[in-house]
Amino acid sequence: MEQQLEKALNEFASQPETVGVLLANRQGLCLGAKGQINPNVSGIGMAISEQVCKLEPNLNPPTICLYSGNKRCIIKKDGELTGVIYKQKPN
Amino acid sequence: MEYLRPVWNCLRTFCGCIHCSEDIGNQYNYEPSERTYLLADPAIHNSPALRQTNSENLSNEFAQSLPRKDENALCRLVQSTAMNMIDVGAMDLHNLENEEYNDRIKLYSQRLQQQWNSIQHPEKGSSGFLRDIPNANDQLCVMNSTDDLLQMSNFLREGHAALLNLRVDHNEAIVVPFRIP
Repeated sequence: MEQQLEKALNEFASQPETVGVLLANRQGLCLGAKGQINPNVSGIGMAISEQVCKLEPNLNPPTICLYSGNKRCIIKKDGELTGVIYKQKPN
Repeated sequence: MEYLRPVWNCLRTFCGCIHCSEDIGNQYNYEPSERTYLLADPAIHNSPALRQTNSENLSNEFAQSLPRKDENALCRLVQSTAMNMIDVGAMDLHNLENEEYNDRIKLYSQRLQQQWNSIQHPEKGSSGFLRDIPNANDQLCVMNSTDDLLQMSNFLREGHAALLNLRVDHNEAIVVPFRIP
């Protein structure tokens, strides 16, 4: 049933520097997570994307990048989906 | 200058003594400048007697009536007035030579620059949200990674496609598990 979703998650979680990916629905519930990412962050990621979209409501949803050291978190809302990707630079 | 002239006339009328005249002459010939104070002693200026002094009236009214003592007092009063006056006419800017004018511009510019350099400018340090991040420019260059944006776009597109193809497989079960291992 959800093989295609699993396949997509696995594919993106295995990309360079990527350590974890997550998809959340409009309610902030986790549709799927793969890699080193806590499924509980789905609600927070969705809330962040919702809030940032309010900055420019008439424009397309922006891509949010949070940086901390050699790690970064990329969040983007697209329709009813919110994607969260954790990436880490190799030392 | 116009104000000083009647005072001077009054002075010559009442002050017969050479000593007084010399003193006043010396004081009167001082070099006026923009730094010359109008009053060295505020008490003299605030005196109502001085404020009401009109030299023409003085010469007419007190020429015969003033005793010697009052005459000396008036002389001192007028003398102090003349000392404390500023000759505004002599300070006219049109009297400045062009060269002197330029010199003053340079001098004032230098003083201004010195004062400006001596001021502590609190905003001289780094400002902005990223002031606590060393080499923020390099960090920002790394941040604008198009690969990340492209990856996220592809990820969401694949996610949409996967959700569209999400179909419940009917296997005659009442409850269909979703992502439950």
